[in-house]
Amino acid sequence: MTGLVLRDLRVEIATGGRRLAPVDGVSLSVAPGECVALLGESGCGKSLTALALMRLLPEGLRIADGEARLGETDLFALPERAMQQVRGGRLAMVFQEPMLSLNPVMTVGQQIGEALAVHRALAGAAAGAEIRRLLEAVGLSADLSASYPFQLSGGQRQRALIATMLAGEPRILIADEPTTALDVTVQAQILRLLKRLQAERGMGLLLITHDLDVARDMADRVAIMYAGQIVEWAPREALFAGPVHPYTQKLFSVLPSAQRRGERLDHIPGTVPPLGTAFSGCRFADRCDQSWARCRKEAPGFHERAPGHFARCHLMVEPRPAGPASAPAASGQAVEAQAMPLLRVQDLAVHFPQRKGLLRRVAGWIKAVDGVSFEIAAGETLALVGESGCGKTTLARAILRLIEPTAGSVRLGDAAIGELQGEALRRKRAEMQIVFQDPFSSLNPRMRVGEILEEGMQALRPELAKAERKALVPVLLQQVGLDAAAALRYPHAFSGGQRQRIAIARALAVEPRLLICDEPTSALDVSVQAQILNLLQGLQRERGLAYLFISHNLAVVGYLAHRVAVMYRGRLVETGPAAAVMAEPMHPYTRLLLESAPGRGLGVAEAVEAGTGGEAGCPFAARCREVQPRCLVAMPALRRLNDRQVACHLRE
Amino acid sequence: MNLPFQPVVLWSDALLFLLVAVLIGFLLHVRRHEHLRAPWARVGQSRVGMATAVVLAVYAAIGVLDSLHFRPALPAEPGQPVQYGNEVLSVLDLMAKPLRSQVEKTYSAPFALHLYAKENLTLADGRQVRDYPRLKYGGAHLSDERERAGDIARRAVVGVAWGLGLAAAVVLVAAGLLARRNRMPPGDALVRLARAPELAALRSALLTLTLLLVLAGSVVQLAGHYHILGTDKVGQDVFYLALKSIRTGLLIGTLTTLIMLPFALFLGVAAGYYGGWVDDVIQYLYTTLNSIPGVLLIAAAVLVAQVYIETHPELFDTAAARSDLRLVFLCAILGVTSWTGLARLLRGEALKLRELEYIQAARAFGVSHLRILSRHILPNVGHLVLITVVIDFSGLVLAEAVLSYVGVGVDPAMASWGNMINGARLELAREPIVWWQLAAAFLFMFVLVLSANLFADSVREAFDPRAERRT
Repeated sequence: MTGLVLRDLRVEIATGGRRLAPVDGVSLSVAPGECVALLGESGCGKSLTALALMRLLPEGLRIADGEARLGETDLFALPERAMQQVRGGRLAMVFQEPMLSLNPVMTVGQQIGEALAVHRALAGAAAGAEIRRLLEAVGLSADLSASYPFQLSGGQRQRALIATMLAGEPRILIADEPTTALDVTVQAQILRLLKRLQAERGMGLLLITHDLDVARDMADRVAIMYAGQIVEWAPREALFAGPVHPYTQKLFSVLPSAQRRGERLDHIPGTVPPLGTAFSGCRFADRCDQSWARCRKEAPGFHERAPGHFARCHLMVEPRPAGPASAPAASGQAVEAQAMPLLRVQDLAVHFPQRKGLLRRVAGWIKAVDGVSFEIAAGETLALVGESGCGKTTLARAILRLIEPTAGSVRLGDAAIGELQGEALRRKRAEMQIVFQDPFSSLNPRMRVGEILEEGMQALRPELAKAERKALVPVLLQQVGLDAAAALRYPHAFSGGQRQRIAIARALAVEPRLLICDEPTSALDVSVQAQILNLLQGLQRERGLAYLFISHNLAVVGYLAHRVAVMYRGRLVETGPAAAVMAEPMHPYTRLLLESAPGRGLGVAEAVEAGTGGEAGCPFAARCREVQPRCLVAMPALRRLNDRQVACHLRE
Repeated sequence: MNLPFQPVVLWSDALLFLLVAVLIGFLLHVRRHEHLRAPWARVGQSRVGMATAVVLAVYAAIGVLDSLHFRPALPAEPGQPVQYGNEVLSVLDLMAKPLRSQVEKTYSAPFALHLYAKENLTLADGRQVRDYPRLKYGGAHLSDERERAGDIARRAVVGVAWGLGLAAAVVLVAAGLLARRNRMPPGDALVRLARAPELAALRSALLTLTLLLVLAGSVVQLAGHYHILGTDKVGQDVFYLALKSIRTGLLIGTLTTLIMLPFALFLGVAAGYYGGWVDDVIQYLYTTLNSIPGVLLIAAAVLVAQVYIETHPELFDTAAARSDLRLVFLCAILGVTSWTGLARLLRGEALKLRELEYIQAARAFGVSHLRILSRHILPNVGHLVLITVVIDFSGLVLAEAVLSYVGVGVDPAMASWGNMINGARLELAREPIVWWQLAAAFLFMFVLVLSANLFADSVREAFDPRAERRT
């Protein structure tokens, strides 16, 4: 076999006289022409495994044990000079953030040429021809070879990076979360590209991901990693038909989807064990609801359940002794929205001026939000969906008046937010709050959690005395499922999910009626995402909160939202009840989004990645598969069709 | 009131005490906040950091002793109200009284017994000869000039013994404290102090302290009887001048920062946070200020101050007050010209911070701008300020020397390293060369600046967020 074989990899980090192993005994193999997905939550050691294979471990970490063979070569025994030939040659790696992996002061062609010169000794016209061939192979126009990375879109950059990596004609390509930073539509294209290249070139692909659906679309075999070990290793069909390790089963059951609407999502109790935990038995035992005494005493072996299907669990060889069954997940009721609109947004627009020249004259306007209207009732969740850059976040900030809108009105209850000034505006702010995407930048690292929670109350509920405020803090923490002792600690002591809970508690402190959630779970692992979604749903049930839920994750939207509004280039193109929109999209853009979502087999035809329509026509025309002549000349208006609205000439 | 002295608080003293108070307040604040304490604990674990901290502390102690000023009472006639002298002295002057009072006629080399210049001498038999006269104080206790080497060696050994004894006492006290904190027998604590790898930084500090104590012991034994670093043109002890210069150097390094910080903090953070026209105005201001050659601006400002001081003699009751005001003025003008760098840095940081989501969240709560600035932005630029201040310190000490050399620095009558170098400049051409004045200024300044730089390095390393991830 000429593929990649990794055996018993152990990566160690030495701190304070102790040796910790973030990767502890990982074995896997990637055959030529095969795609293996290495799947796990953040911190499980999957990226370190990839870096160890490339021998690019960060300072302080080292390969303590194990063997990696690429064909006949023993990678860990090579001297560094020989390894430089292998790296980017027979073994290449694509990183998550394409902007950071491409040199900003070299053109794409130069960067590919550099790899060609090193690994294939090509120069001059031969190199030029090869660069064009490679660019075309990754679906880029050959003219782009003279472009600098900043001139390319995110998807184009990732394609250019893949072209650079292909220059050495690798036998094995490692892709570390290659699409995590990209929109779903672009993600689908990149995944399709990787799949095609892998088939055409007979290349092995080691795909590192946290997304089960991506693995489902791409992989031939899947390795599930937990706390530095592979816990399950199986062919894709077998794994998705019946996962056997309790951790894998949990990963499946925490995933939200439209079919599970109203259900309370399962959750994995506890958190990932921190690095340096001393394990006496199974690493998952503490969080496993099927564990028994043996799990805590004896580390399970890697048992073969069916041919090629391994799992690291005692259940494989011994049935679980009878004991109290774990309680089934309580199923909650979906919240029913009330009829009275709480938030009414009408023709809201935010235009940013584009200034040019010495005198900074306004040369044009960027219409980030361009005439958006919608309503949200109390107790209702409206999901706002769209690709990055479509104006979702600007819209949210304009509603909160963190940005001054250019035109239009926002009414919350009986007051027009746009007309309020000073004290009245401040008081109204208490009724609408926001939860941000990144739980690490949304909490001030220099303030204690208690101070963070009190700050909003101090500003917006001045009627509360200091003692009352202090008394409210533990109540709030308990509502979001945190210990009261958390109030005295600083944000850095908490994990991402806990920080997001703190951010939610901070918003709840001022008793809002509307909560704007700006991608609140996209930076979190799936098991933590389930906890946050459950929390949001519980709060809605208890307090009748209305949510404006901004997301690009359609599975989450289908699970949580009552209604969906799809946004494209600053305008709404479709709105309607979530179930109806997800089942039967009316706008071609909505359809594209739904079809691009991972987990559907990547079967769709290539869509145009970007491009603008004419000034007058439909902004989506350039990417639309059903484009018609009038789409290019007339802007379709948002039309009402029963309980839905759509802006498309095809639906007139 | 019949005090034997009258306390005098000069402007620079007041500012220095203010600075010390701010420092103590800052320390207490740090102790109470975990996230602030952690990086300082890292400084405490750095060997270089602790060793240089000891050196800096010794300098600071000398500087503070030299800032406790008073006017001694004149010997008064009975029944008359007490009169106080015109001369302002400091506690350091009191402690180093022999150094201050033992003034020779002119230059003499370190440990010399004779002046450096020939004079006409009348011998006991009435003959006139031209020779190097004996010093009035340097080695005056020796009956025979040949005893000098032995006497110096004897005194040095006694001094070293004193130093070692004191150092041993300090080590024992440290071991005792360690034993009490860890509840272990003192013997074990001593072994731990000598061996434990986690106490390496403390060992470095103790070693540095021992070295300094040994040095101080010898100096105390010798300085009263010899001019250990020679004398200058008017016969003043150079070692005493170098000691007095410490205060000047420290004041320039720290007071300038104190004056600069409010400008830099307020303007830099405001420019970054508010943006728009506020940013434009502040940027124009510091760009303009940066375009004026610094030395020119400083020279002009100092000369204006000089003229003011000379035309208003009635405002100053002592000469010390006069030269002190000039020093404060120099600090102020150095502060005004040096805030731009830090302000620019803070502007960039505030630009970044204001887009962060916790600031957005605070705005969504309707928290006032001033409160956002003080609670959200300022604490998050603190590490930058600290690193800049510590790094700038050594640059300012050197700047004082350069400016005094050029003649626009501190008052020529004030002891400062710059003035010492300036005074030594002309004598370098003399044959045989007068080297000790320059060497003394260089030595004292070099140790201070080197310590400050090394300390700044370990502070920067401790506060570097990237260093945390390295193991």
